[in-house]
Parts: sequence; structure tokens; C-alpha cells
Amino acid sequence: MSDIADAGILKQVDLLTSKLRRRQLAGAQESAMETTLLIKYVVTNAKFGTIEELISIIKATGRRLVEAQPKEHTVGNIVRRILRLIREEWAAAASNPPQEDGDEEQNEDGSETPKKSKATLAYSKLLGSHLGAQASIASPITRLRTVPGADSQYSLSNFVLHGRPHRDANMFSSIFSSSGRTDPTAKPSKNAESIRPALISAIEEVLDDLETVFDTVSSAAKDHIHSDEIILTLGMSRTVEAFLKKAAMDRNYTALIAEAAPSFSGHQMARSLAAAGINSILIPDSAVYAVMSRVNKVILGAHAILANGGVFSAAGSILAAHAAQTHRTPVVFCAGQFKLSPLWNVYHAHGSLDFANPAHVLGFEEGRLMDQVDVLNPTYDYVPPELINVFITNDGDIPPASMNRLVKETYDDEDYQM
Amino acid sequence: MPPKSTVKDAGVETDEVLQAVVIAESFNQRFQPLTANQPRCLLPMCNAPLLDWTFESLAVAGVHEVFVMCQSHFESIQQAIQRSKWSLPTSPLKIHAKFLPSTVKSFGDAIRQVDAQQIITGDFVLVSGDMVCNVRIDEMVKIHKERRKVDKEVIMTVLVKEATVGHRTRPKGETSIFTLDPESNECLHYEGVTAVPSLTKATIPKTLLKGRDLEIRYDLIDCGIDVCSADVPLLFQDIFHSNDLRRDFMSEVLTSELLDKKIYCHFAGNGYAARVRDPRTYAAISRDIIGRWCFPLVPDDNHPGGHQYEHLPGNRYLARDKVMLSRNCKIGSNTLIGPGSRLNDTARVESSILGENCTISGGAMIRNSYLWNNVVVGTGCIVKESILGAGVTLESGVVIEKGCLIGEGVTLRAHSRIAEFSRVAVGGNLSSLDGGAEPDENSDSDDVGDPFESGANLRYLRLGGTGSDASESDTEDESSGTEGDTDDDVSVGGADLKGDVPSSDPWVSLHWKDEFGREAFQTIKRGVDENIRVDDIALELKTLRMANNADMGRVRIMVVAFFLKQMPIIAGNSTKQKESAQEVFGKWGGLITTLCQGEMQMALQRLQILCSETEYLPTFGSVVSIWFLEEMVDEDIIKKWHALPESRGAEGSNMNKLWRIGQSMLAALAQGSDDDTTSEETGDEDDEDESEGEPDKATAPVTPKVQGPPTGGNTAKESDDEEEEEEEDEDSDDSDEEE
Repeated sequence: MSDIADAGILKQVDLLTSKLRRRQLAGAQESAMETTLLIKYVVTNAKFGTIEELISIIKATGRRLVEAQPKEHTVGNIVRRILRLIREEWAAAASNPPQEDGDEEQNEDGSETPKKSKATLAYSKLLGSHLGAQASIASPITRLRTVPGADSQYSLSNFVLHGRPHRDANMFSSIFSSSGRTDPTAKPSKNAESIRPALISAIEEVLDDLETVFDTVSSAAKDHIHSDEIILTLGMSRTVEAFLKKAAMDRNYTALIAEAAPSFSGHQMARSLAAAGINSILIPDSAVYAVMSRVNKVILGAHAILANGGVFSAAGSILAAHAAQTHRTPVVFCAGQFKLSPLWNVYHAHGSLDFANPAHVLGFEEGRLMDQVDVLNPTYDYVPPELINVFITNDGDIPPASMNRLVKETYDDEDYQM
Repeated sequence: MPPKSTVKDAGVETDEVLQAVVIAESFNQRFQPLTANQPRCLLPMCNAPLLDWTFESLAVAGVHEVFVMCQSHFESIQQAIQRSKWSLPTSPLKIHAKFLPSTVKSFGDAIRQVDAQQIITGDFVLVSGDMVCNVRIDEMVKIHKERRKVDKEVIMTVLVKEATVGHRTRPKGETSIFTLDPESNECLHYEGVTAVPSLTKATIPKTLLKGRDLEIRYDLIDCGIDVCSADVPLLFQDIFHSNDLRRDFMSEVLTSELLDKKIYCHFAGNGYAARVRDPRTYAAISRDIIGRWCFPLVPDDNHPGGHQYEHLPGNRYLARDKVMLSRNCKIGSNTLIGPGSRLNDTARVESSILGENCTISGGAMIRNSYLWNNVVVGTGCIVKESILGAGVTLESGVVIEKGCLIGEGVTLRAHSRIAEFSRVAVGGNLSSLDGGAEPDENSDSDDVGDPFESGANLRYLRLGGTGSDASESDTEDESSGTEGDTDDDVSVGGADLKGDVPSSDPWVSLHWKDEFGREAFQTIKRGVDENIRVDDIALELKTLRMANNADMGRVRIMVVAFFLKQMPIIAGNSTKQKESAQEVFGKWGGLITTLCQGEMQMALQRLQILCSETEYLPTFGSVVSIWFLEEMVDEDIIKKWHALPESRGAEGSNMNKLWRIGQSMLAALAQGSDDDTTSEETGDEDDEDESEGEPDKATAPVTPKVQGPPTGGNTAKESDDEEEEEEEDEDSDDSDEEE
């Protein structure tokens, strides 16, 4: 748990945290962008000797940001994603040049502390794709325990033997990289500095991904929406907006838009879709059930996708999802991969629903009423995985049950907790 | 790469630094005794000092430089600022604490100081150090600047928030009527409104009523946030007598044709902004924060004190740090529990806020209350709608009724009972505390002139106070004593009559702060000064009493006190003393008898109480004999008075001594029944006996004779005769005694 020493970095971090706290920065994509920019700044300006130092600085940054606003899940996601990329870059840099470098790296991991084993994990990923497959199959079990750490042995016998998954870097490296950790001489500190440009370009890639995420998600739109279908959506989601507009290029369909009180962002959505020439019908939220029998597909946007396949999305989504289930209408969530969060919401944390200003529901001026009534204005609903048919992401179409695997592939176990 | 431009979100022209002036001085004492050791702006609101809420609001608004003007507790404010996160190098605010000299006695003076210190460079935000707000003030500043570009005479934009009458966040005793131009929201007229005396008519200058639309609005909360141009402090110098920003300054500016300045209102819309003006709004704003009305300034998100809270269903907020909850404690909705707090078995907390490290023992119930840090509540205590200062300890079984303010560090012994609206503090009596705590407080600031600080009006500002009892007798504001024992060094008193003469003063009736008290006093005084006929004065007083629905007892108390004070004391010479009494009562005695018709025994008792408590002690005998001579009282009345249980007083007290004087006088009357002169002399002698200090010898033998049967007989008779009236009198008499 080191902290940030550099004053310049600290200032930038504080700036972003206060923006997040004050909700001056809100929205999944915007927060993700700002975070990426900040991390890029950190990587550019941080002084680090070893890759571990850099990682711990970024982690400390991430910790502060997440503490500041745990409800903007994308902030944490982006930090984890970048950490993962840094490790991959490092592993690549370590393995491409003379083989010894990589060995030394592993050796350091093994001898110091199991915490520093991600380079090995990344390295082993490079070694063979079969490992990746193996890991992803076994991951649901380990995730259930939500124990951070690079679990090496995904065998059931091991699991039973140890009572819980544990990270055993030694065993891991001894099995998959038999070269062994013998040589404790060389220091990779120079290399760590030298990969800075590579890291920055990796982060820039993330940035590009974020900027184009709406397009990439909607690339397969015409495969999901067919002619003369009736599509229901709720509120305003830029992903869904792009998706529907893309589909409209090839298909002629009708969009029903629930207005999503009390934010009424559906109005904006309807205006935008209508302007794009889509046959749009704006309905009140209460009519969602009534129209559901006519709807062919429900397409919603997500605020955050959780590792169990559940989703935080605009308030009202759960209503639409339940209505859809009753009518056996497919429920589709459109979201960029950056919304994928390694968190679980098994216990449905109330606070994550993020209750906003009740003034939008009941005017503050209604003195006598507001004194006697507690007014709630949740921003999000939690939609459990069993109500969701499929996620459309920039990574392809994924059923809720596979979210776990995707989490495992996207982030390092060790970064789940920052 | 630095995340885009850092100034971008400030929202104001970047070439100018947006300044804010925070007046961290309240210039009133509504929070006594909680403000004894700390300024109001450092009182905790939802476990963060009010000043931090203010700074957070300003930071959100894109303010860069803040001047905190403080007077009392300057050092502690300075320290608090230095310790807070606002002094870190990364802080967006640059905060300067400025000291106000003790000559500064009002808001107006403070602003004149701002001008004198030459700190303002342009348009600035003027707030007080006790506000909570999520309004984008920078947008307000932008609008203000645009208006100023068009019209240089625009000097101020006032933030207002709509809220219907009866809204909890409206400061009940301190509301206002805005007259606006419906198109531009220009404020054309302003009138401050008190709850008591209640306003029945709003006045609007004739000049406004010239073929234009007016919007007269009473549904606006004055948020106490103004965007001012740099002229405002200058104008304050010109209008040197204006003390209050709104009632004096704004009214003056708006009515003055000469100045020709303009003031606009800005509606907060869905934004939230309010000032902690009194305990009542303190509670309301706490509830607003808990109810998330000033989102994103909510405890679980952006707590100015840096605490981390978890938001649970029903707007319950639990600190993430070390909160210990017993398995069967009950936490009601709208509750905030601070870090390190502990709730034991079966403790109940509802709609309340617990500070840091509070301990609530088993069976205790806390409802609608605000407990600050380190409060310990013993088993079985009940706390209703009150504020408990830091470090208060309640031993088991203490009951605190609604509206109490318990000062820092008070320990209440087991099974104490604190009456409604009491204020309890450590260390001597509250009056000294009143005087010493805030240096700005002195007698001229609470002269009769400010109705906003009058006792009756302040009732509306109390926590839990509806003000509905304001028209009732004034029993309660004089004293709300405790039953049960409190610590020795704890004093309890009705300090909510701020600025009132301490309740122990026997002459309190001459300083009553409500309308009736003032008017009646003025009437009598004028009558005596101008030598008006007794009947006329009596008539005027009666009318006044009717108009104000005042109690007869109060008139009586006042006249007796007034005339007794008129009489000079001539020590050691009973003849001269009698002459002086004769002078006063010979002339004005008629007024007393007219006003106290049929209840002269009460007047007599009043006289007795006054004498027993003041330097008029030795004159009692003389005065009574003069009353007798002037036929203001007769033997029957003296007997009646003598029989009243309250007259007797405790053995050995002054009351009792005076009672004995009366007794001997009665005895003398009984002896020389038909000879006035004798009785007079007897009374006289007794008087002298009294002053010589051996009353027992003279009166002792008589005591058993008179005491027993007549007392019973008399009371019985009275209760037959005038049952209803008597009841009323007794009420008011109770209150007299408590004074």
C-alpha cells in the first residue's frame, strides 16, 4: 500500500478525485476517458526504477479514484485494464530479448513475494494459449471466492486440498516455465524505464478504443435487428443510440423509447433517433409492460457489467427486463468492454444504485409534503443475469454466464482489489 | 499529459480570480450554549464542520480565493482551516482568515471591514460561514456579470430558493417578502418578516405601482448567498447605519432614489442552498442532507469531513470505520452514524445523527436528535429532538425533552429530567456565559429595536419549536427548570430569550422584550413623565392588554415593579421612607388599585417578592402601611395575602421575614381595630424591629394563632368565590416565582 510521492501527479489525481466526488465528471465513458488520460500522465511523469514501482503508483492512483467514486465502475476498470497491459508489455519486453531476462524476472517474483507474480502470469499467457483456456474454464470457481491472486493450479483436487484457491507462484512457474528461477544477478530496472514509450502507446490504444467504442459495439448491429421489428429501449444510452442508428442503415424497424422518469433522458433519445429517420415512439415507463407483447427485442445500455453477468443500468431497466421475461422477449445489453467490472453484486449493494437528488421526483418547494415523505431517486437498477439473454460488446456477443471468463481474460486477478 | 485544462471547469473568465467573502460570525446567540467554546461556523453538521460545507460549496462553484472574516474564536477558526484539506497544496481554494476587530458588531460592520482591508478586486461572492449549497454559483456570477455589462448599476444578485410556507427549511422567524419584476427577476422591494409580531400587511412603495407587473413573493427562502460587485462594500460605507445586509442595506438601496442601484434575484431551481440560521434550520438542513436534497453533497459521496459512509436502504448512513452495532439495536431511517460509534443492545436511534465515538447504551432511545462527538448515553435514556454538544454524558435514565441544547461536556446525573427547550451548560449561570462567550454580544446590540432577536420571535427558531406556544403565558421562557439533579456546576436557564435580562433579575418585568412588555412599559413611563391622569393610563394599559391578549398578572407585575422603583430608598429612617412612599403611592396608588381590581392581595404579594429579592427589603413595612393608609389595601386584603401559601416562603428566607412583618401588622390591626394611627405606628415599629434584626421575638407568639385555621378558611372561601380567575392567577404566579 504505497502512496503517491510525486507532487505533480498527486495534484492531478486530487483534481480528478474531486471532480468525481462532485459529480462534475459523470458518465461511464467520460470517466473512463479522464482516467485513461490521468494514468497516461502518471506513466509519463512518474519516476520508477522497477516495473513494480510503476504498478504500485498506478494502483495507488486507482485506489484513490475508486475510493472517491466507487459508483463510477469504469474508473477502476480502466485502471485494471491498463495494469494488465503494462504487465503484458513488460512480459513481452522481458521475453523477447535474451531468454535470461524473463527468467530473472520470474526469479525475482518467486523469491520476494507472491504478490509480484503477475509478470509470470502474463508471461505464461504468452507461453501457450491452452493455458488461457484452462484458466478461463476454471475461473468461475475461483472467482466465487473472490480471492485476489494469481491462482496457478486450477484443478479440483488442489482446490479441495487447500480449502481455497491460493496463489502459488513457485508452483506455477515451475510447471509452466521449467527453466527455473536460478539466476539472481541481473536487475531489470533499466528495462523498466525503457519500456515507457511502449506503455504510453499501449495506453493510447486504450484511449482510441474508448473513443471508437460506440462504433465498434454497433458494427454487428444489422445482425441483431431485422426488418419490421419493434425494438424497445429505455432512456438515453449513447451506445444504444449508435447501435440503433447503425442498424437503421440496413433495416427498417420501429423503436419504442421509454422516457425513463425522472431524468426523462428518453426524450433526448427519441429526438435523436427520430432525427436519424428511425420510426420512433416515445412511451411512458408505465406503458412498458403493456407494449411488451408487441416488442421483438429489448435493447438496453449498461452502466456497469458485473462479473456474474448482472448489470447496473438506468433506473427502470429492471421493469423492462421483467416484463420482457414474462413475454419471453429477448433482453440485449449493449456495452463497451470497458464497462466490464470484476466486482460481484451477489448481495445487491444498495449504495451502488446511487441515489440522486430527490428534487427531480418531488419539488423541494413542496414543504409540507417533503417533510413527511422520504423521497428516493435511484439512478440505477440492478438487473440480475437470469433476466439477460446476451451482451453485445466490442469483443463480440457474450452470454451472461461467460462474463466471468471475459473478466478473467481482461484483468489480472491481483488487481481486483486495489 | 495533464488532464485537459485545469481551469476549464471553473466556468468563469479565466483572467479573473473569483473571490468569496465568508462572514464567519453570526452576530447573534441562537446556539448558546453550544457556541460557548467554538464559533458557530465550526459546529458539526452531519459530522463535518459547517465551514467545510461552506468551502466545499464554494469549491464546487469554482471560487479561487476565499476570505474568512472572523471575530470570536479567531484562533480556532484559523487552526481549523490550517488542519483541513483546504490547506493542502492541491486545494483549489486559497483561504485567508481575516480578523475582525471587536468594534465590529454587525454584518454591516464586517462588510465595511472588507472594504477597509482592500481585499476585493472585482465581483465577489458574499456568504456566511454556515451555508450548505450545491448551486452552481459560478453560473450565477456569469449572469451577474452579463447584467453588469448591460447596466453598471446592478450591484448585487441574491440567490433565492422556492419553498412553500410551512417548509421545514424556511427560517420561520426570519422570512422575507420579495417584490420582483416578473420578467427580469429584478428585486424591486424587500421586506423582512418576523413571526412575532406577525405581519398582517406587506408594504410596497407607491412608486412601484405604476402600470407595471409585480410579483410579490413570500415563498422564497433567502439562501444568504449573494454575488456582489465591488461597489457593495463601498456603499456600506456610505449607508453607515445599515447593520443587516437585507433589512437595512437592501431596503435602503431599493428605496433610495438617489442611489439608483439595482439588485436581482437568482432562482436556485433544483439546486439546494440554505443557511444555518438557528437550531431549527440546523435540524432541517441536516435532514435535507440526509435526504440527499443537496446531492452530490451527500455523506456517502462527498463528505466534506472526509469520512466514508455506506448508504443503506431508508437513507441510513453507517460510517465504514469501526462502527459497532449490537445485534438487536434498532436504527431507524434517516440516520447517520459516525465512525467509532457504538450501539449496545436494544438501543434505538431514529432520524438522528451520531457523531464520532458516540456510545448509546442498552434501552436508550434517541429520536430526531443531533449528538456530536464523544457523547455517551446511558441505559434507558430518552432523547427527543435535541442537540447534545461534544462530550456530553448522560447517566442512566436521563430524559431530555424536545428542543434542548446541551452544552459541551455536560454530565447529567442519573434520572435527571430536562424540560422542553432548556439549555444546559457547564460552568456557572448562563447569563455570564451569554455575556462572555461571544465578544460581539453586548447590551446595545439587543436593544429593543431588533424584533428579529426578540424573545417571542426566537421561539420560532428553536429546535422542534412550532412557535404555537408563543402566545401563551411566558412561564416557560423565563425559566425551564429541571427536576432531578444535575451536576452542581450545571446551570439551567431559559437562555433562549437571547439578550434578555437573566431570569434571576427581579426587575425582569421592566425589560420584557415582547411587544406588550415594551409598550406597557412605555405607556406607564410616559404617563408618569407627562403626569397623565391615572384613569387614562389605566384605560390605555387595559386596551393594550386586550390587544395583545396579555395576562392580567403581567400588568400587575409590571406596575408594582415600576412604582416601587420610583420610590427612593432612605435607609434607617422609617419616617422619611414613609414620606417618600407616600409621595409615590399617594399619587399613583390609584393606578395599581384600578389595574388590580379585586386582586390587591396579589399585588401585595408581588410587592413582597420584589422587596424580598432586592435592596427594597427594609422598605416593605413602610410601603405596606402607606398602601393601607392610602386605602389601596384594607385589612381583609392583607389577611388574604397573608393566607396565600406562596406568601409565606421558606423558613428564614426574606419572603418569610416579610410575611412575618405582615403578620405582626395584622395583629396590630386586630388590636387597635378602629385606630388608624395606632396600626400605622405598630407597623412602623415592626418595621424597625425587622431592621434591627430581632423579628422573631415580636412575632413568634402570634404565629400559631393566625396560621392554622384562617389559612384554610380563607383559601376555601376564595376558591368558592373566584375559582376560574384564581386558576389563571396561580399560573402567572408560578411564573413569577420562577423568575
